[in-house]
Amino acid sequence: MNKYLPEKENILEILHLVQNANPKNFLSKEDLAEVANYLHLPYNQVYSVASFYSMFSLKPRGKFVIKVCQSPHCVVNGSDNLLDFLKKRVKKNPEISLEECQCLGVCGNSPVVLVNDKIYGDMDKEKLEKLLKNLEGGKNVL
Amino acid sequence: MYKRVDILLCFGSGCVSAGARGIKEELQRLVRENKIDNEVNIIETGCMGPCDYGPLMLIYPEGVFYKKLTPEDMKEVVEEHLIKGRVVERLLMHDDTVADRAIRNVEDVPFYKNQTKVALKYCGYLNPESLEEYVAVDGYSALGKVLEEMKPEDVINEIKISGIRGRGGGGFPTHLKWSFARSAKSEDGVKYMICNGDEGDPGAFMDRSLLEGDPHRVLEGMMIGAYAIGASKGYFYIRAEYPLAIERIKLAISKAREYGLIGDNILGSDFCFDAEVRTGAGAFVCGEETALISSIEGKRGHPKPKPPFPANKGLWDKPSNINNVETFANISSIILNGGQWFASMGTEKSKGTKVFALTGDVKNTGLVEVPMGITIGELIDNVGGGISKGNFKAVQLGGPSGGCLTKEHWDVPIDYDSLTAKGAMMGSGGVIVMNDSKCMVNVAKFFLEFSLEESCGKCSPCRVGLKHMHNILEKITSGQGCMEDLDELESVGKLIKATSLCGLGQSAPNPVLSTMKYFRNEYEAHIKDKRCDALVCTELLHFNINKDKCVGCSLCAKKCPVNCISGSREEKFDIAQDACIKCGNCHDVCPVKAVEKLAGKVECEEE
Repeated sequence: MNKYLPEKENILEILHLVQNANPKNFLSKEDLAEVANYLHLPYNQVYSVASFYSMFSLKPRGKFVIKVCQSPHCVVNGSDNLLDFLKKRVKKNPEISLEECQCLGVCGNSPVVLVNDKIYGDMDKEKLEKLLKNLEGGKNVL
Repeated sequence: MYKRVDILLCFGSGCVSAGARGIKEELQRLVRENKIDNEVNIIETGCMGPCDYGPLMLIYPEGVFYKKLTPEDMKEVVEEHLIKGRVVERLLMHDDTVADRAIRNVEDVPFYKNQTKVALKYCGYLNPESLEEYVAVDGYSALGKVLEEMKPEDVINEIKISGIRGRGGGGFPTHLKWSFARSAKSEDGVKYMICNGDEGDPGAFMDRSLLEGDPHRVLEGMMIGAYAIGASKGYFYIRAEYPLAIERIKLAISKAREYGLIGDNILGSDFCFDAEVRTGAGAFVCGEETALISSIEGKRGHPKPKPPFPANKGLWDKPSNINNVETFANISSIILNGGQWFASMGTEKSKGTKVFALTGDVKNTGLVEVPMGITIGELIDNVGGGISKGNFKAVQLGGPSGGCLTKEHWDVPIDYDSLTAKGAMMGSGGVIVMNDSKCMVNVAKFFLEFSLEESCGKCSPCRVGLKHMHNILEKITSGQGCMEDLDELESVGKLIKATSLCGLGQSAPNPVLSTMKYFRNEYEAHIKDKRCDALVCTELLHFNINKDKCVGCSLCAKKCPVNCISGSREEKFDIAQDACIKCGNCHDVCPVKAVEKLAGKVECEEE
């Protein structure tokens, strides 16, 4: 955390860092309390910021978070089918979490999924299956 | 170092997502293996534009352009092209207008031919991580000119002559914004320059591409603006969904600092400037300037009522100026070539060029830059290469704040005022082309869902009103609508536009209002005839097995999740309509296409 000065304006950067460092990929109550302490802010202010932004999760997640773009262009190209497919496919694996997200700005290669910080374009079920196999093996590659 | 061959590999997010990294690794490996690594430069560039042909590669000095590459193709590229000097025909682009004509040179690619590049001029031709390459194409010479020869007022005047208007969507004249911020009084002299890189509009990705492909150009534009308004600190606010853009702009800032282009007394002048990057965390509303300021301050991204405008009371209550990424990317060219030059492009009230993210049912999707005033038809046909499949139905401009236009608007020039007059909007420049397989009611619902999801919840017209509109659209698309719903949609939509606090709410009803205006018959078909002719709204269609075509293979019955298909090889198969959940499995699996998808709600016709 001390990569950033203890000033309120750095809160988003700090929350990103803390969330990434959490093995469960989320912001726990303890995390928020620690950030509040570091920034000399009341807990509720940190909570209010963390709960506003969609990239922060207040619930535990898996090591890999798959985000499926649900913006018009991706949906038109079949991302809702991919989402249904993934919902069935990843249910049992606690290491992989599934989320919907809005436009990732790679519309020329839709449908698009984001796994942690890696974007995969032109996806179909076969590619997803291959990607999932790799994720299950602990590797975020296609 | 000078080498025989320069290989430019597109490393925009689009090509990276399509596998550019794997291609680079394989290429590097093969180049080493064939011992030609001292002859070949492999350079990562920003977005080259035609994203759906990615991953892309451009080989100089010949200017050969290869598309849709896979790591397996690299062997042939290395052995044939690099070693033997023979172009790999099958990887070239083809010109549809001339039968089977492969395009050998990048300059002949039709996609590029009809474009005029200003902001994107070097995007895709430079290594965005190298300051030297940017300087080699006159980079930072506009900054030098400004600091050496021009007073801040002169800069603002040059921008005024150019006529450039904000590229983020609102279209507010940039020179006015700058002169407000310049004349605003700050007690301690502190003013801020902010770059809005929170590009959240679905279907728009020009800001990402500019930040990834030519970050120094954006930084230089910001610095010229900062000099003009008297700011000494800049912030780039970039959404966290763009990690590569964040990385590249951070690198650009640190390189510029290293070379003394950022810091105190820049280029020997009195001008001092420093810049920082702030990342968002997934909130569309933060693209609105007051919400963006709240977010930089470390608060929830809630918009504030205006006035006071940011020019007087912005970041930490200091005078602040916010411009879009693309606006900044145009500034250095305006300074170097003069405002007159920029104003010679475009229309009377919308000058210069605009970058569009062309997506949807067009042949060439990707990033394009064209002069303002080009007609919708020219953009789709000449640059986009025409409709990819089906017939043109509508074009959505301006994302969730914009609207849909139709065939009758084919000759409408694309500029701020013409689009607004027709009920669409320039927005950030997302253009989604739709063919006749799209249901406009559903499209409108979709965009509304987006705005609903992203509404920050601060003011009730947006929070409650959008939900109400969405409920009505749900009703209509599920066949429960009545004609009064249309009046209700219109009046609520107008109310939200008039009373919402920020731009998100004020423009969120546009997709619904514009489709109601131009596709009213479709809404009426959904309500009166309970039909969705585009076969999209599942409640308003049904499946039927054509017994003349059915071969009785029983595949549909096996795949039906609710077992509503029965029959035999002799009798053929039938769907029990009352039990059918319209999942479409039978339609997808039928080997002889006997399962028909038909418009209209059907009450067991066959019985």
